[in-house]
Amino acid sequence: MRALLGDNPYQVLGIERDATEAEIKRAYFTRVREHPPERDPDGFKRVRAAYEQLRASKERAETDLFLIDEPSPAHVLASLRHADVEPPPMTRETILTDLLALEGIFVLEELRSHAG
Amino acid sequence: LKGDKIKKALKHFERAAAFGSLETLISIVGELIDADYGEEAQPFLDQALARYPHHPEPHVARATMWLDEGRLAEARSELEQAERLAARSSEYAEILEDIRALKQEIKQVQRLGELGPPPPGMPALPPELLRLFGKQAGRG
Repeated sequence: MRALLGDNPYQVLGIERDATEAEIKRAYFTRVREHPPERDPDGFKRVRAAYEQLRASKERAETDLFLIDEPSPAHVLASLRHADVEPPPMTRETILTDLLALEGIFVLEELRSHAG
Repeated sequence: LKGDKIKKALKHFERAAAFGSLETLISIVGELIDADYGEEAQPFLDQALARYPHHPEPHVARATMWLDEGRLAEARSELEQAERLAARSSEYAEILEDIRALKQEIKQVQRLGELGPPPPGMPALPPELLRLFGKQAGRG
């Protein structure tokens, strides 16, 4: 689950914007020890949500795109590298369903901005 | 306003899901979860499981939902099922890797929970995890 609006996943995990994958993973497990699910379920959900936003390159690129604070030049380059993934093949059907799903996503984004 | 908006989003999603692929269904589930509408995501996940019962992906999505909630036992059991399905075909090799990574993650989360908070001045992670990350950083 993605952290609620306003939660910066880098801050939740206590890492820099240009952290490597290994650093992200290490920070995640460190936080998990501080907030294990059995003793601190809400803390764990927050930590897990932050990790989900950063664990894969696609998710990280998306997260970086929507973070409000000013990115560093090194971070912009890192973000471009993360976004460099092969797009899936397109057919008429996938375009149509993607457009419909996109409409829904736009409405969700509006909702998120109202929540903020 | 909030209720109307989510209804509108769900209507779009329902239309997309009606003739959409498994990928569409899974991304709808992901989007709703990301926006903190886990309950609304459930019917789409159920639909994915009903329409693609032998595909490991919806089980992985459900396991991830459980893990996000900190419900480790449920997540593990869902992953076992996903692993059995993924092992049937080589086309799921990539998913199988994700499943194994998630299983490993759950194991570590459980272990760290059992260890309890680290004593003052001691590293938070056990030596084998620290060694693992050291190795990964060296590779990258």
